[in-house]
Amino acid sequence: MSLLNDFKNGLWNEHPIFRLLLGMCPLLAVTTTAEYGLAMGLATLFVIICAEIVISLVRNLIPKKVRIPSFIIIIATFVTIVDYTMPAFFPEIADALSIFIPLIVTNCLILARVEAFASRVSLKRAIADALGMGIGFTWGLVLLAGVRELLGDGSVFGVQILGEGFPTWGIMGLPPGAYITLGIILAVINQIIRMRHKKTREVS
Amino acid sequence: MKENLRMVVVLTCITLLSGLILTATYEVTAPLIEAQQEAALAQAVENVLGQVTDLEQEIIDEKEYFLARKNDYRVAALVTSARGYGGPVDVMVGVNVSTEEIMEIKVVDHTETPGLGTVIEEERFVQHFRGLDFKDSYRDEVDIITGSTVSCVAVIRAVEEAVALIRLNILEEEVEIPEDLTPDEMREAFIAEFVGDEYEEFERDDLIVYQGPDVIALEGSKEGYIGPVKTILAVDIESTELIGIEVLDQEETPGLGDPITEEDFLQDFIGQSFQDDFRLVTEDPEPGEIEILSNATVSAEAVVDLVNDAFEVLRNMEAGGEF
Repeated sequence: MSLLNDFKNGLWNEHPIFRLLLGMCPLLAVTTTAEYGLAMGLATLFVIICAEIVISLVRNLIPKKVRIPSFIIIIATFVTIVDYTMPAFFPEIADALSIFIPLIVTNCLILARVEAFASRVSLKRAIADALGMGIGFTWGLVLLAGVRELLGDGSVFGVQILGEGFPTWGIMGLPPGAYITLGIILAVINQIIRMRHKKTREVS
Repeated sequence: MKENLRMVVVLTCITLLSGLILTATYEVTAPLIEAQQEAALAQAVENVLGQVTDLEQEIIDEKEYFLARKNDYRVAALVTSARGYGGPVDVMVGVNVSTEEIMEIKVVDHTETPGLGTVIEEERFVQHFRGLDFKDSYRDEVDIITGSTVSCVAVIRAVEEAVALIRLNILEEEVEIPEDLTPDEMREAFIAEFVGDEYEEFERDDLIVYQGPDVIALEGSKEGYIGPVKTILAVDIESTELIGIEVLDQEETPGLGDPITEEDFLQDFIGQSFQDDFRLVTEDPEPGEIEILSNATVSAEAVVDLVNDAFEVLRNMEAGGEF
């Protein structure tokens, strides 16, 4: 039961983007199209899973005083693997994400989960948490990027959805478009959560 | 002590392992990445030249040229770069060397504003270049798109450079390559051309004076629209006339303010005596007047103000019997 909770945690209750507001830098920079959002999400998912597994395994070997540098090196290793692998197989996506792939190292989501969770719990729970957080981050990116691509380009995942006559919003391709979209999504999600609380209170 | 040792050992092990894993990954991916880059380049060549035969690569002056045959024509492609709004804009230009025409251009890399500058990748901009003859300038041939002036001008410049390079290196014509000299190199060339080897250098009223036996050059800087505009000019002592002027350094808006560096604007200064100041007018300049460039008023004023300051210094020097 607790494993499922660990997994579900990252998908909604402690959603890394919409509840914890972590990883804002890649969020704002690469969510211009749904494809890039998905690619960034999957890259982060890979890194967070590998990092949480390794750190959970070696958690008792690492001295407390040097845990942060150790974590950073481990995270950076996996990020660099992504950085080497992506241009070898998906050159166009790698080109579009460019600097934001190496910057996954500094994504506070990963360091936060590793430090606060993986380094304290068993391997199973760490994997469940990594999957939840990684998938949560990915769907967050895809949602945001999807909205931006739809309004900015009339398409989602490159598939034209809005007709030719739709006046595309240029601002959606720019960083302010990311802020505006994020703000509106946050407001909607907060409202949903508030209404749910109200309901549970009325029931009880 | 024991704890310290443990920290060192653990960190060393982690970094060592990390290094090993990354080396292995690199060994595997490096050849793949290289192959991807080559494929991308080949694709880009095909995009501008179409299906060709006898494709060869040749390196001339550190620049890569792709030479090929298409039916009975010699064709060539190369990548040139010019400064755009968000950074360098790299353009691959494909030309028909036999008929001296541009075949196709393709922007291969840029960081222009999405939705504005990215129009340079689109058909409605790129189409203008297709089939144009070799020329020095394409400013009048290509429609610049509102809101993307800087990006469009960057592409035009890159194409101009590509055409000039093809004419110089492939057709072996004599053309001048628009080169970006540093301000120091430009100053050196300017002084060598107008003043000569022997001159005295000193400062006067915020200007630097290079006084030679026959010609005096003065250099100074004025605030333009974005940053300082640094200008140098040369005056013949005998005839009191301005004989040369050049903008050494400026950060004005590319495509708008930077025509102040061009011949069309600067030639109106030539021949004016330093006894009279310049005035800016909006149209039909007469001697002693400079026509304001629309959209570049502030930049042009910076140059005119500097010239007038220099003339005042010269008049004071003359009154003081310094030459």
